[in-house]
Amino acid sequence: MPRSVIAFLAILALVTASCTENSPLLPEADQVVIRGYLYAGQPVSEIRVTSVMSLGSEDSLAPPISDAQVFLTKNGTRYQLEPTPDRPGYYHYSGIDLTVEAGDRFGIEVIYYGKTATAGTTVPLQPEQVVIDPQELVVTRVDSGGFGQFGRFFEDDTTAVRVDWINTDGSNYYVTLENLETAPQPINENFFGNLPEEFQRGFRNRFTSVPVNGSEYRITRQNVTYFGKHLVTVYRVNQEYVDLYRSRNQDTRDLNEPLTNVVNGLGVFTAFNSAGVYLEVVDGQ
Amino acid sequence: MFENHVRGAGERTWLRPGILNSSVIAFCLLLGGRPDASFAQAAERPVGSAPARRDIRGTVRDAETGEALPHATVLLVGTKLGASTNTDGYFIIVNAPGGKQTLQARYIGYAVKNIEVGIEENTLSPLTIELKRVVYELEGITVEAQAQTLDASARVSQVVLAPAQLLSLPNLGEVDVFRSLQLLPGISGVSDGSAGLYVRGGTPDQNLVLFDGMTIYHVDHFFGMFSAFNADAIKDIRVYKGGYPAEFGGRISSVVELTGKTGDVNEMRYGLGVNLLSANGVFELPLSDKGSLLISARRSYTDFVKSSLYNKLFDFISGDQQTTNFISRAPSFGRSGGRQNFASVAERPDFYFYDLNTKLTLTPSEKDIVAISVYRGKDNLDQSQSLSGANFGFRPGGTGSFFSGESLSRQTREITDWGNTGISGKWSRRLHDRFYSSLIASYSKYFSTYDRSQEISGGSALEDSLSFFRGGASASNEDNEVEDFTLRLDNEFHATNSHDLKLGLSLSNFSSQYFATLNDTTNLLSRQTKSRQSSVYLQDLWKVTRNLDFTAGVRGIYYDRTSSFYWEPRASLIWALSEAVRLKGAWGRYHQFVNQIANENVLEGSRDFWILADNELAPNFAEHYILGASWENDSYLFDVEGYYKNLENLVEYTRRVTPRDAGILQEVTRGFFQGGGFAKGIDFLLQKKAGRMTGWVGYSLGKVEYTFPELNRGESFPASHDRTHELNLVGKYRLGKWDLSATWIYATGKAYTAPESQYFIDLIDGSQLSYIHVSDKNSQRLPAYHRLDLGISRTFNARSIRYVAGFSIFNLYNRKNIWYRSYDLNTQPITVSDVTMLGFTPTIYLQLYSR
Repeated sequence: MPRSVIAFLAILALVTASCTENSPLLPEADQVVIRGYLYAGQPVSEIRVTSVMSLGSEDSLAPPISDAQVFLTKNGTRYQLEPTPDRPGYYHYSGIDLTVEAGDRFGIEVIYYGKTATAGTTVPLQPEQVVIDPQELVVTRVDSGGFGQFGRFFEDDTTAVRVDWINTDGSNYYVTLENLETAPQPINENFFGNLPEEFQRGFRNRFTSVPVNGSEYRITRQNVTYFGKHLVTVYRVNQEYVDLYRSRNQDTRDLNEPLTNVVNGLGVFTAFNSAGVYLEVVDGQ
Repeated sequence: MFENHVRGAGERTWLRPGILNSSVIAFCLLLGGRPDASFAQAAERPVGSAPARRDIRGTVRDAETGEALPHATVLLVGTKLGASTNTDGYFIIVNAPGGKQTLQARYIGYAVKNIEVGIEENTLSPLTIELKRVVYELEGITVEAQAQTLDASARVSQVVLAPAQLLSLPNLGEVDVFRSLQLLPGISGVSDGSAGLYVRGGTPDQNLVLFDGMTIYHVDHFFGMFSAFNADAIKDIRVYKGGYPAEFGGRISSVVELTGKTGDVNEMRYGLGVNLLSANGVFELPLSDKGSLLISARRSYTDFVKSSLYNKLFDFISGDQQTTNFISRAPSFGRSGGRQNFASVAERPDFYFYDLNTKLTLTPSEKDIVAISVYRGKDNLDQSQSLSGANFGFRPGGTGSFFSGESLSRQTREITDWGNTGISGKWSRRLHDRFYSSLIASYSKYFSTYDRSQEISGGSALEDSLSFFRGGASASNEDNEVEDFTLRLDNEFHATNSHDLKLGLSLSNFSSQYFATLNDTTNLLSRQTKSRQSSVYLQDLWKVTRNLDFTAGVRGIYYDRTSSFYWEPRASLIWALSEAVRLKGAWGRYHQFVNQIANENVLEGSRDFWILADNELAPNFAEHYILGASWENDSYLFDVEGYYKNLENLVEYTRRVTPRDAGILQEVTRGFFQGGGFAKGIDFLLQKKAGRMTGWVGYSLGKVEYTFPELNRGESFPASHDRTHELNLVGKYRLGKWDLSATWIYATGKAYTAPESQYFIDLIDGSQLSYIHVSDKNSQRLPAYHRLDLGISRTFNARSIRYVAGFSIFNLYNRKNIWYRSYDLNTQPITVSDVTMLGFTPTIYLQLYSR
């Protein structure tokens, strides 16, 4: 065999033997997760700090951090928040000198084990001229026929409640529909009675949309599952909140860090302003 | 035929007084030089008289088939004068010295030929130089030397590959043009499943792939496993790895120029071949001295016979070859469910691909060549299924409940078609011995259609609730088309013996459309864009001294979607320090106005789409700097080139958005990010060109780094195709009638982003979303990639047929190279699996050719 062939095989064996492997899973980073929501006209109480969890964890609840130092800054003034009793990981401001109003610029600082995570947001303006049409929705109770009738009923019914508002600057909005009854009556007892518990959860009491940047939203008949008084709330939301939705589908072939406005940490710090109208869902039977 | 033609006194001549003569002289003056004296005299000479000059002109042809050989080199031995043939095989050496001279012609894969010519004014007729292909037996004598597979010495960053020699390299069932190119330094393949070319830090969509002048958008078959070109239909493969001249434009990384065979002009020929995936045939028919016709076709029979190779390849591309590192213990609720992939389907879906090349070449007169080339390639994936009873069950999205029922059934029709159709017409006319024009009209269309309909039926009460969640009877369609119509005029003007000019202009209409509909009524996505590009270029190869060639050119483009002009100056030089040693360098600016957005889920077929640059998505830009040197003798070539590419306005697309969300149009657009970066590296090539053992060692040291303001916190990150080291060893050994070959590839592991931890965010409605916190983008590396392939083939010569039988082994030592690391985010704890690439894979093939 020629020397060149032997040399070829020798080089090959040498380089093959020098290959190394590495670990498929990295240790988790020590990161705080901020979920800070400010609502215009309401006290500061929805600031939550948690930590990341190991990829190997089987918990579905985020580990709360209740011993961080949390500060809000508004127009150059710094306010220290306190941990909220009975709500692990939550922080609130107990004074009356801190208000949340449209146009206010807020900053947050979370100091935990010498590491400071920061973020900033501006309170959006209140949605303008929120109206719904119709204000009363007549729905026929479904009390027989099981799943089949339920499914066909949905397919046939094109009734919708249209929610309109003014949006001249391309802002993002978020619509929720909440049943205000203390003991709400389902439109189709058979259907909800037979579904698994975790599947019912999304239907019960509250429906939410994904953020939209238009000026209308249609609540279809399929979105309404209970009779009674409902509150339709239109939130004007900031881009950082929309980014939560943009980040929710992480693909294994294209892993990217979820979008966040928190520096040196994870999560979101944002503010909302809302306007609500009532919708009555009545039994047409 | 214009060979050996001597113009008679009464014959019509090309030379018309007036416009052309004036313009030709004007070009010479424009160059800052003096028009060649003899040429000027010719211009002033009355119509009908013979020109007074010592130009050597003619064509270089295959001695056996009479086919013109494109890009062959013709040199006057002992001088620095020489020329290359154009795509029609025509060459001219302007103002050669008088007296007896030796003319040497060479072309890759062919024996070098020297001929004696006596050069006197007005006496030299057009020559026809016939080269003989190096085959196993040449005139009854076994030739021990092998034909060269690779030629990398002629120009800056230019590599030429001999298609006929690719058969003897190890393969994966198909003789593959692009996979062979991946063995060259500076060109990567990234994975076993990709025939795409990553050239010096570029991505496959940044390569301009030209086949007989038409742009081919879809260049592979079988989900990227094989290139879409049948090697039997290709005469010349030429790759410009960077710094390419002004005659090419529209892409920022490289140019792959494929010239199709014209077919035998002397006698009818045919060839047939079969392997474990496909059968192919080529048919060549001369058209009574007026031209030739070539038809070449290839089709896989994988929809009829699912060979073990097909099954293995399909398992690979479906990601079914995986090793789970971390076993899940509990499913996680809240993420999307209900997905079904091939892993859960017992039978592999039907799949086939085919391609067809037809080329009609006509020579209506001695000065004219008309060629019509048609290409069509298509892949078809049929994933239709009928599932019922115990075989059928699913988990509705967002729940952990699994529904099934004895009487349930689901009929799904799911067909994906994708491919490329192209047609080009070229009319070449030798307006003068020194002026050659080609008018090319080409049409290219990439298409992809996806058609899915599903019906769930059954007798139980559960069926209606399932229908509600899954849509009952549903249908979705996606149509994606890219069309490119181009009209181009290319001119070659060999003005003096120190200036070869090329100038041309082109007009392209480009349209791209993408439609997605649900149940024929709901328009999920409707995207239709059009653009027009007008280009003009001028370039000059200036032989400054006997040892220094300098090529300068400029390309100007007007792009209507941005209403802007883009200027692209280019320059390159080759300085011969001695017969063996050359220094070389190139610089150029390049723009690209279209980007391919790849669908990473290969199992969905090709739903890639092309997106046009506009005022919001700025055109890609690159500036190339190349410096190198080469040393060459008859047996060896050593070539080294360093490069730096400044990259701007690159496009990254991330599918972090849900495609089915409301407002999908906005969401899709928001998936784009623009940024810049650089690619730098150095490529080494050591080639053994002669003897029983031939081959090469190619090594590339490279770095590709991107910076996108909106990704990775604005910090730089390695591109996912960044490879620090890449080593290719290619060896071919001739043992009598046997050809043995081996290739070994080593590459640094792929950069990837790894998950580090998970966290939850409560929304304002009280629901919760979970997220994965990831490492810095592409900060982790998969283990190094390497594999050894072996090939052995033998040629049998019968009286009228030549047979080549071959056997190849891909990945001889069964290296478990990792394709990607898969994280199942739907489980707690998260499941991590290594999806591996192809293991030990033997294949066989048989080719026969008429003699």
